[in-house]
Amino acid sequence: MLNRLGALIRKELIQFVRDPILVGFVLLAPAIQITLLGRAIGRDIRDIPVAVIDYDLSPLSREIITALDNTEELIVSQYPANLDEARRLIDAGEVMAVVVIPRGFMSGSRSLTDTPQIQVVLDGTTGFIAARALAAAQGAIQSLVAGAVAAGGQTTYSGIAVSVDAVFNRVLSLQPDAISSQLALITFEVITLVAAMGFVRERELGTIEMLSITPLRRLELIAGKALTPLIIGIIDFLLMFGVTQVVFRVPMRGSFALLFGLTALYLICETCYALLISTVTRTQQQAVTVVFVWAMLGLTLSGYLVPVTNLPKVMQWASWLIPLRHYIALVRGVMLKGAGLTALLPDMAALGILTVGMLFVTTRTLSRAIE
Amino acid sequence: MSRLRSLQRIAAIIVKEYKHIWFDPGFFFLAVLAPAVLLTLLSYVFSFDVEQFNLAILNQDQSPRSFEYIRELTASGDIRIIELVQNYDEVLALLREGRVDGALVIPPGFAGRLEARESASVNLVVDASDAGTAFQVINSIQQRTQAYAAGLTGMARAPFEVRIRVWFNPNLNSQHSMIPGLMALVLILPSLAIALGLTRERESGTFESLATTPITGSEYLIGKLIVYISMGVIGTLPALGVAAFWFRVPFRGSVLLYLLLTADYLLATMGFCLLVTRFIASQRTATSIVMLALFIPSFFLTGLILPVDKSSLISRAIAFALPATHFIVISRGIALKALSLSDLWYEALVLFGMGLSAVIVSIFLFTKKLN
Repeated sequence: MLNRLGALIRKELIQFVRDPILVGFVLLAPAIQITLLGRAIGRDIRDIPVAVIDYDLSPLSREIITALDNTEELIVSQYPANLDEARRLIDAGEVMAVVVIPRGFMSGSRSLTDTPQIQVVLDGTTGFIAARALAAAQGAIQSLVAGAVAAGGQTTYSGIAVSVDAVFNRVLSLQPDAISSQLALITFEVITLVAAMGFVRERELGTIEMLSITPLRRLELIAGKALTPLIIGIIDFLLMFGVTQVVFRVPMRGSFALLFGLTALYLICETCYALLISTVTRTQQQAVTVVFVWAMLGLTLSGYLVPVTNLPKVMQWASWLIPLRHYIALVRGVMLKGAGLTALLPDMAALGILTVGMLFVTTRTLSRAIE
Repeated sequence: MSRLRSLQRIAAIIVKEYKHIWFDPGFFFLAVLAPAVLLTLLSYVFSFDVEQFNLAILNQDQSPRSFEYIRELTASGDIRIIELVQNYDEVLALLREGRVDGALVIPPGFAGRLEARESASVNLVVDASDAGTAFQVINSIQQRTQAYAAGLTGMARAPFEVRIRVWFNPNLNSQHSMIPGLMALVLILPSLAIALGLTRERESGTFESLATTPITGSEYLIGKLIVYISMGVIGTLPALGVAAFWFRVPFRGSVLLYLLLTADYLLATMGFCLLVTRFIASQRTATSIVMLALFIPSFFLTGLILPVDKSSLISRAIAFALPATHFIVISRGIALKALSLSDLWYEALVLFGMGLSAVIVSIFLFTKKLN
């Protein structure tokens, strides 16, 4: 049996290595990608360019401009004369927000009857960035208000301060979270892409008949087809893990051996899904389309972007069937929270059950594909 | 005369390709329908508005005031109180299990300080391993708390206030800004189709029969391009339909200009595909390259979600090289800001230049010779 399996594995590896562009891409692209993407998405939003129209030109308005500029998120880059000019800057994408300080602002704020208004105009087309710009501007102005009130000697001003305590990620940076789930996602993509072509390629090229007349059993065929993607997946994982540690210094609070074991389990599980795709499709192009849809389902339901608990109930249940969901939870658990075996057990068990189930289904569909 | 012949041959290729796409449901789906399907899925994935989150409360004060405050927080239903806990250990356990997104600690003496018109404080512990959600939890608790504090009697009047106006997207709906941007991503699928189409002919050997015809390399490529670009433009319509009628994204500019610039964008991405398929021979490799070099980086390195890092030359160069960067500006500009060609000429020209040079180089490199 080992003999037969060895022959199949050798064939698979030779076929794979014969295509140097594919080898290069599949082995190096993930590490390069996580480096680039990590820099891009992990970077906290900083220096959003804003414009200020200062009609007041008072010490207080200058104080506000300085306060805005001093936030990490904002940088005051333009001083247009009026709103038309500001609109042109927004259209050209040069600034993402405009702060308008009206004439008579300072005297109004000192008077007891007036409540002058600062206007903040945001470019809503940039959604997420606009929301952060707004929060930063409000924060800067709010603290000025508090300061102004204190300076005015109004001791009756009392409020409720919310002090924030961010656990698992002290500085509340997007990076550790984004990079650990990026690691999971890229592993998912590569292994699915490579494994999903497994049987369907043989079928399209007509060589599957030859496989069917060999003495290889179905499970052996699956094991042989699974091994190349598994090796690629593990190499990619190690390279990317290296990048997360060396380049980004993502915390690694749990045990590496545990993470490695869980990754191997996940890779086996995901390979079974991909091989299922390759047994039910007829052409490689069909397989690619299915992989795309599968990847989108993975993105939607895995908690990669939106936490699973925020999905509708039905989708939460369906997400149990998505191996990526469990893997992302495991990676975050081990790397960021330092969770031990017991905390990880539900997701681990889920991966185990899914693997066995998929293996069963794939052997069934495989015999149909061969015949 | 020979020019007429050449046009005839291009026409023959176009007819052949059209038949091919129309009668192969898989290809038709990938080139025409997949963008709309993918856009629907992605739009759900990339809506960052967290609608509901779970909170634990550690109320050490137990005063009527503190209960009133908690009621105020949960009044609108988007903050759900999962558990009332007794100590910090329970808070940490809940966070570790991921059952709550955050915990609010109301310290003893909370009500007393408020009665005495002093500043009270509460402590918000958030699970920052998902930083995106954490930000929204913090923002929402802070806003609610401020609103509650402002409603208490005996507060000083703030010296000035901030008024927010959001242009183009008044509710800062993340879908309205994401969906026009995502159009750039889903329109990569028709390019994947042309890459698969080109490599399939090599892989399955039908390319050999083409080699025996009088069709020249440039005629073959131009014919293919015309067909796939027009299919991509046709595929844009259902995708726009989904955006406008299902997700209710406003479309304020000219549809005709949009389609014209879509063709421009498709020329750039398909030109890239023509160029890389010159060097590869298998559909497996073609898919990997389109996925890993075009599709995934376009999510993170183009300004779709986060702004391009202007301080780093590498990320600026990559953003410039990815056609999606330019099309995202075009798509958001036309759909949300109603910009015209005079505002977008730079992006349009860059895409056209990229496409044209890639096509010229591919024609130059293209040989019908068989290896």
